[in-house]
Amino acid sequence: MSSLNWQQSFIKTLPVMLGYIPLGIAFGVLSVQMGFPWWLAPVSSIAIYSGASQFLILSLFASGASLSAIFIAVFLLSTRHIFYGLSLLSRYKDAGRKKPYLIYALTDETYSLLTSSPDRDTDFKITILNHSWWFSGSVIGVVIGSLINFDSSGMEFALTALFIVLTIELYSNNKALKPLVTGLVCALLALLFLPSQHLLLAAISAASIVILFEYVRAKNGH
Amino acid sequence: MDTSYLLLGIGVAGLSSILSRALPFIFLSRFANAPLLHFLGKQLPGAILIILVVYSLQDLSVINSNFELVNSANGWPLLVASLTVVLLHFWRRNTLLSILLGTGTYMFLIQYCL
Repeated sequence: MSSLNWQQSFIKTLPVMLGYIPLGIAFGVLSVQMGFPWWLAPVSSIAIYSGASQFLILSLFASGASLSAIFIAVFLLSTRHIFYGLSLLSRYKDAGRKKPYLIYALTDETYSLLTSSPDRDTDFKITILNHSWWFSGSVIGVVIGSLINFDSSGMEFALTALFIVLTIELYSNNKALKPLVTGLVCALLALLFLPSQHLLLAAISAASIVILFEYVRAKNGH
Repeated sequence: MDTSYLLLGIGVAGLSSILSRALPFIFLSRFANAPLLHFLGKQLPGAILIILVVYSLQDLSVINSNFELVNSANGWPLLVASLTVVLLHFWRRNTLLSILLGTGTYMFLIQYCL
């Protein structure tokens, strides 16, 4: 039963693997090429485990940013995780001793995989497999980096494809069109009016506010 | 490069990253059964997923200002590959197949057709 769970989880995380390993390799190669020590990529893949933040700290380190600047920049970039946590509170409520790790290793891709399926048994396995894909990628990037002679350009599309597929899956599971429309409108407005580094957080905040309003309206019987 | 600066920097960034993930669990765990949070739990994932789709396709530009097809990684290949994923998924409903074929299509298009 448990090994079947591992097998199912492994299959579910394959698309994430296709995205995380090349992206992790890119991070490892970049980190070494920028002159940082070999351990920086794997250590930050364990301790930070966030693609966007890890790429960001490379440039922050390169410009000698202060520790407080690093703290604030990474926090602002990661604020969207707060919303992920909000919608996982009840799902993780009974996760027991696995809960701290589930929270610690929550990423965009893990959140998407978990929330698009109602099955909670594989939450931990999916989370740790995704983390290991990301770690492996950055190690491979550091070790063989520029020696790879396989042209992997375009492989990062796997993450885009994953998000598309998960959106379709979620919709066919719950048939709720409204959240999709809300999210789409917020994302397109943010895309039109805001610089791209703010898109994700702005769109997610806006969508959360709209959904909050809908809740208040529904509660007041409108 | 100063090792202690790098280690402290990673530590601080890691702390910041954990904090963003743990905040709702630290302050709102008591309310896990509140109807509002259930509502958010039902409605937010769909909104966030489609936002992630838009976010990852934000550089898509199929036609330039002269109404010509854009021959770049963010041009028509990105649209063709995305549509491949959508159609394939509605047709076969096989997650892995949709993603592998979609990604293969994209890699082929940008490596051999541009």
